[in-house]
Amino acid sequence: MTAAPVLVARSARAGSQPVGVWASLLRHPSGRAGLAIAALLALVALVGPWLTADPNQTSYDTQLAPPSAEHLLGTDQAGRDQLARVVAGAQATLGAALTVFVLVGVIGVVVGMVAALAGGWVDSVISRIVDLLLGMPSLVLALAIVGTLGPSLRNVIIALTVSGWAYLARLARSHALGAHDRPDVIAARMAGVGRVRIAVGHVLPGVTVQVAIAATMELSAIILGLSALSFLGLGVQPPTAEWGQMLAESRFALTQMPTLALGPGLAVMLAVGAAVLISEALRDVVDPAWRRG
Amino acid sequence: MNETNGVVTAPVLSVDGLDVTYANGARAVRELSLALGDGECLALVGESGCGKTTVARALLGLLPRRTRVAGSVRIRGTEVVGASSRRLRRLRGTDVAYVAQDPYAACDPLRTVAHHVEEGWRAKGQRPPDGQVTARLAELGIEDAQHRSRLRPHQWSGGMLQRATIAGATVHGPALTVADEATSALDADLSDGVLAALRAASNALLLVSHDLALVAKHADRIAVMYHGRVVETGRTGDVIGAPRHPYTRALLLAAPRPGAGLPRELPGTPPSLADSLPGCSFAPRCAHSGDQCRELLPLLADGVACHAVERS
Amino acid sequence: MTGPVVEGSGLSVTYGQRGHVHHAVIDLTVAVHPGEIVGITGASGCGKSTTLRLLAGLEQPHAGTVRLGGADVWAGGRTPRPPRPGYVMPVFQDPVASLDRRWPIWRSVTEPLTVGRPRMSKQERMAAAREHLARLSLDHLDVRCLPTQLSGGQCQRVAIARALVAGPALVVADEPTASLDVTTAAGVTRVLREAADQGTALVIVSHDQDRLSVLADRILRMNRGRVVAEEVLRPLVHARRGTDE
Ligand SMILES: Nc1ncnc2c1ncn2[C@@H]1O[C@H](COP(=O)(O)OP(=O)(O)OP(=O)(O)O)[C@@H](O)[C@H]1O
Ligand SMILES: Nc1ncnc2c1ncn2[C@@H]1O[C@H](COP(=O)(O)OP(=O)(O)OP(=O)(O)O)[C@@H](O)[C@H]1O
Ligand code: SF4
Ligand SMILES: [Mg+2]
Ligand SMILES: [Mg+2]
Repeated sequence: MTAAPVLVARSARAGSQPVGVWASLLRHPSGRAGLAIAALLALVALVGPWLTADPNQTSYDTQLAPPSAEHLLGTDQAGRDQLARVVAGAQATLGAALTVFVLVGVIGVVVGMVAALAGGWVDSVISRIVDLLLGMPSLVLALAIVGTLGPSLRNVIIALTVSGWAYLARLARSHALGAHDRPDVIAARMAGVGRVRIAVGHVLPGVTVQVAIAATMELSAIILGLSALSFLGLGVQPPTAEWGQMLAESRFALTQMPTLALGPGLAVMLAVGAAVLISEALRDVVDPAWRRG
Repeated sequence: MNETNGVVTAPVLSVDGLDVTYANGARAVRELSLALGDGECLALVGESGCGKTTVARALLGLLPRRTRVAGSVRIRGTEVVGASSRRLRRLRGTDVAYVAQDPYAACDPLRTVAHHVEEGWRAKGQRPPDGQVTARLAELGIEDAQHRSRLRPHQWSGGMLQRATIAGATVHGPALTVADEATSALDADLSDGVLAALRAASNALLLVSHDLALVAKHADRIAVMYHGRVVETGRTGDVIGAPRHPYTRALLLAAPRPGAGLPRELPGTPPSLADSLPGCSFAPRCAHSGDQCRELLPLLADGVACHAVERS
Repeated sequence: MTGPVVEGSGLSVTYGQRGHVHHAVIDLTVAVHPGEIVGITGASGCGKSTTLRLLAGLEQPHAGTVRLGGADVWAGGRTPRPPRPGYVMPVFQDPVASLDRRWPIWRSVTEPLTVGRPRMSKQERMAAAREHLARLSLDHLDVRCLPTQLSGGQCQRVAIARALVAGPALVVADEPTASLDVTTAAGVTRVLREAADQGTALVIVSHDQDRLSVLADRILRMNRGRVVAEEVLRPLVHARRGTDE
């Protein structure tokens, strides 16, 4: 394929209406469901801790109590209220997941745009690193990193970020490169608009949307990865509540009190489900398979 | 409904009181009615932005989400307004085909041109017959079609890609083809040939065009739109030979004539689409407007919507 | 006396894939002077758009040179070097895609004005956009519209406004009136003519020969990549240019 710039269009327009993404998401059935669950989880994480008991209050009289009016989800091995811990865990788990989500998204966009914009050796070096990272299984990489840095929530966030940004950077780079021949970008270049301003004004918005969609699709993987690392005891340290780590603890009491796993298990499923629903809707809304005649 | 030999047949297209308002409140089409019989070619002409493409897209159910559509559009008797997307998909291609105004925007830049032409068959779950793509492109004057069809849209020239979209739209010999400025990048001779091919491939043709010479040659009837409404309609020869509405007359006077200096302009601009003036929307630009024009909407009577014509 | 705004000599472009070699432009030579309007016409696929890309410095010729304002644009290697930013402005054949679909039209129209000038406020830019759009009979449009909310011909006029807004030395316009009805096209024709009277050189591709003959000073007819005929309609260009300075 010749790479000659075209005076006529080479447009990747979907032909869709760029009406507010939020409004369109709300109109999309699975988007609405996903947003509703996400809103519920956010509400629980923000207001919940005021309404429930102290999640760290141990009581050795009521260890592994079954669900009751007093303890709706029962109590754990240390007699702590499981509901209060699930609610408290929402902040740790969702907060960490969202931090990773934002970090990988921002790093992906910035690195991908820089590679595309700078070209030359900068691009080669970045692309080499990205290829290297993508060549490794991400969870193994994350494990290795936490193993080196030592277990803590902060290090889990670092590990998941390091192993997660590369794919998004590659995506951002290819979108940014594709914009080079867009007629509106050519016109801006001919008008003398600087490279950085073109990148920020014309290219960045589209790239951000694409990366945001991809990152939302990865969000469920992030939540699961986070829970997996915590499950292995590499994340938050006791007594802080976190869903993955709670699942790990409930495992020891599985025969005595199977309901203990219910709370954190369901919570992880809800969060993952919300992420999947929203990402699917987002893809439909932003990039509808436009109907042709 | 027409009656032929005692059998009642539905007209190919009947549009009744079509009204389209976009999400931002722009009322682009207003109480528009049209009908198209078997084998007929109707030309839709009018100022840029008067709503021609909007009408075309309404016929195919291709308007953006949140657009309010009222009235009725029947293609071979099937209602399109409010139809499910499944039913619309079934109609498209066989009953009604669409040649979009902007061929580059209608094509996926990463797919070959052949892929786009074959889409016509694939959309109906069929396999494209061997050699048909090349044959159809060659018929429309594309040289070396075999090789060229494997290139991507941006490697085609504007006029060539226009012809490729025509070839793709008409593979099933549709009952009605809606061609939106389908020959705008082609010179007169080539447009003639392409339109002749289009008429042969499709039963009825709704031709949206700015090229009045082309319209005069190919259309049986003509509908002139202004500000979302049909202001004059009739047999092509009558309308072009003896235009009655002041806008139609201005339109016919504005064509460039070699050696005659810059072409005649129509002063002023059309009213905004958000406005709903009580009277005639052409009044601010009309040399014949009277008091009545600003207060009372002229209705289409005897093929023209103008108070001055009624008075005379 | 100033020299030509653009001067192409011996230009050739060849596209080829696997033995299929296509000569899109063959040995084309043309010079356009300030204030001159050169029309290019010819059959579909004969190389008109490719010629415009060459003259705008958007495509490197496989043979020949393009001089913009007296200097070879491709002297710097693979990146074109126009004499100044905004020296050449394009009007593309595909009007809708040539505007950023996320930008309201006031932003697109005034983008060339923001180059190398003190910051313009949003209000100033919107006012400038309104003024320039009004000349193309678009004063009824809300300048905050997005391109997807416009008709094909409205997009085309927005693109024309953007090309002219900062007073370029050369405008290359590919079928600038193809999606316009004749009354609207008449206004655009006048605006293009006025730009030439201000000293801008224009190269206009059109298949509409009647329109070119009322607009252009000179018409080049192309066939299969070559200029096969040149028709001079108004030899008075030089006189017109003389009145400018
Ligand atoms: N998605 C939209 N949202 C809001 N307004 C729109 C939208 N699409 C079109 N319009 C407006 O509706 C009017 C009619 O547009 P349409 O595309 O039907 O015009 P047209 O007659 O085809 O013009 P042209 O000859 O320039 O293609 C225009 O004034 C345009 O501004
Ligand atoms: N990138 C490309 N790769 C291969 N062939 C190309 C490319 N760009 C143009 N061509 C070919 O070069 C020829 C000239 O194309 P060009 O776009 O200049 O034609 P045009 O005269 O503008 O035609 P139209 O009036 O139809 O727009 C065409 O045959 C086209 O297929
Ligand atoms: S109704 Fe009145 S204003 Fe409208 S076109 Fe006729 S004379 Fe002119
Ligand atoms: Mg249109
Ligand atoms: Mg072209």
